Amino acid sequence: MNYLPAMLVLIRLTLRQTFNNRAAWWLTAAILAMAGGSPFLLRGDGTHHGLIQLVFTYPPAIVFGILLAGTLWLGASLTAHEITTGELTSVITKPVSPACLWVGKWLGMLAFNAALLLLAAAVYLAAVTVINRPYAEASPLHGHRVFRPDHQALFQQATARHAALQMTSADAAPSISQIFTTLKQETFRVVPGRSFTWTFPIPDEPRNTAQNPSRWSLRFHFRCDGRERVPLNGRWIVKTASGDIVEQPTGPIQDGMHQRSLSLPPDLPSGPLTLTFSNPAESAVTVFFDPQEPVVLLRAVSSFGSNLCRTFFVLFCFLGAAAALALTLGTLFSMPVTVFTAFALLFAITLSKAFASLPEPNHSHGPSGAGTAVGRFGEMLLVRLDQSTENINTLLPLSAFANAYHISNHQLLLAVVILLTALPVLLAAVGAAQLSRKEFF
Amino acid sequence: MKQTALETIALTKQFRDFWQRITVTAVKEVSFQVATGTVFGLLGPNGSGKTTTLRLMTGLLHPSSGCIRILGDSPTSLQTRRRIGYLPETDGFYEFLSGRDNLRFYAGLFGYSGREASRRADTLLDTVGLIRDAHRPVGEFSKGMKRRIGLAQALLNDPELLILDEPTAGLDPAGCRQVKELLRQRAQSGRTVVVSSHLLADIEDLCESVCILHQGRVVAQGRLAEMLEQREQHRFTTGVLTTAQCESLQESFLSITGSAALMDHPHRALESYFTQVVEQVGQPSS
Repeated sequence: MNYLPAMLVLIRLTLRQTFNNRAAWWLTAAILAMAGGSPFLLRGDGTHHGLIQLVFTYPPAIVFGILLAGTLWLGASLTAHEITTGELTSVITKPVSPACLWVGKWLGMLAFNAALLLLAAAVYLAAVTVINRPYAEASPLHGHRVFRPDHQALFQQATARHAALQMTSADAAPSISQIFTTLKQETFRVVPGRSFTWTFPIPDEPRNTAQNPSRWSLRFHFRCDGRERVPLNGRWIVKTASGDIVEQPTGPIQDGMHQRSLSLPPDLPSGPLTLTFSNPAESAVTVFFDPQEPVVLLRAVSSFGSNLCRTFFVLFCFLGAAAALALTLGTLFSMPVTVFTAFALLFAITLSKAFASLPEPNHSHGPSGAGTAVGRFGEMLLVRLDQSTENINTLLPLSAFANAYHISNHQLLLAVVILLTALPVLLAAVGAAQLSRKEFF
Repeated sequence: MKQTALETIALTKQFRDFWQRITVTAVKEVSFQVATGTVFGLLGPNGSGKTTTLRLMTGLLHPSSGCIRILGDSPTSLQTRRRIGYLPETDGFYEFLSGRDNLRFYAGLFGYSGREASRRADTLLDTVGLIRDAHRPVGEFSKGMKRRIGLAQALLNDPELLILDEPTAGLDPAGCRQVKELLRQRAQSGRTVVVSSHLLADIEDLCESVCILHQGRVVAQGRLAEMLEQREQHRFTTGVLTTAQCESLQESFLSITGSAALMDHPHRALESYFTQVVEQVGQPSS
């Protein structure tokens, strides 16, 4: 265990270096302002739910963005800058292996990020508690387990239609996902006097109802064709697997996202649960449910504080991967090139995600892509980048947290395995190899 | 027969540009041996390859060809690094840390625990005369103080082989003398010291053997005493003589050798005189 004292002094030095950096203090100030101040500046659509949605969406995302940028900057300075200034020259001639050096610096960065995230989480929690205090009785904040409807039948239809198009059409047939989306758009359209039913598979799972009484709610997202500002008076009918029926009027509501409590029993039986939306005949509007997420069932499973901790832990894992990337890039390039490369990579990934979420006609998967070869090549690169980072992107908890979805243990485990273990090990191997073969002038 | 602490065999270092074209050959086929328990000097004008050779010895640069054996092992092995101390030409300290904290950090890299690291740091700060400035950030140190703290970090592990690049650069004469005395003591205790410098007086004072580099090549090497000895002349040194005694001796030399001998008072080294004067001024008047 000879490497342990060396590792400890490297961690300690890294912490002192980062806190000694003026940029770190600006970073801390910005994070505290964003986490504690920005929630009070947000103005929603006038409803409590709308305000909470904004408070859940923007401050954590901005805090994460600032921390990510800070981590990349500080991580790059710990290797690239030290090589340039000669600080690493004396260190590298001591009996410390390049891998130990890399890991020591990385653990120091993790400790720094953990301190800032804990601080940000505490300040943010306090801010959210103050904002929600007047509504705490009626609308307590939770992390929710989400149940989505089963679209298996629709997907089979899309597959069949795709196969038929491939057989008959001379042109390139649209992808299955395109056909699937189109089918959902066609199907989730409820004209006056009609209804539509979604089926939810409720799994058989242990529920500790004594300690954590289930609270069910329903969230739906719709728009009204042409007459957006005309209120809708619909009705939801829930039928459980045991045959219990619960009816829930929507009340006069306008288009957008809505959430309603459902008085379902806490020990809901497993099996199919059906949820029917009925658009009354006297209604003046046709309801178009959002094809991506028309309706979800939510069950409160964790407190807001617990879900916040889980979210910030996954963000911590992301920052760990970012620190590893910056440290390794710093062994390869000079400080300006390292910072540029890290930010360019981040920008390219963000761009690829934005590109992938564009509506179909403008999307690269569609038939009407960019005309030039350069444009097509660019599109291809963005699509490939989006696909290759898809697994990592699904781990990012910001969207789930904004929707008050519970961050599961599975997601925490994946974050630890991928972001805090696999990626850093790979990057550490590259960084250590580079430090071994690097020449210090 | 002394053992060999360091050996280079046909050591060559070529620097290349981005396209792998050779831009300069800094060290060409350099071979020498350094015996254990001696002070060895690397001499040469600017750009002769001294620093490159030292960096090759410490594993900071990798040889293009040839090899180096340090204490019987490769310079990049952790075992070797545990046994050597290195003072680089440029000070690469963490400037926001104090002198003591810098030394404690480097001691930690050798695996010393907190208490032992502190003890070693304080002992060495005292040795190099910086104990009173131990709490000041290194960024506030003068060049000479940085050299002293650099020497302290090179001595942290009590190394068997000490490699020093320009150890007296920026030091005042008293500091130079102190450093040289320290290095002499190390050699007497069986440790090996390799010094690179273009200050010839320092090398002459310190080293038993030297290697002179020019444009990356070895142009002369051997024991310094043998290299500097002028075998075609003799010198006698006596106590103070009267004028009559001097004249009598001149006559004797003339009659024996057929030529007059040069007779004058010997000169002290300026460093010795300076140190004496400064010490006298510094002493409290009784």
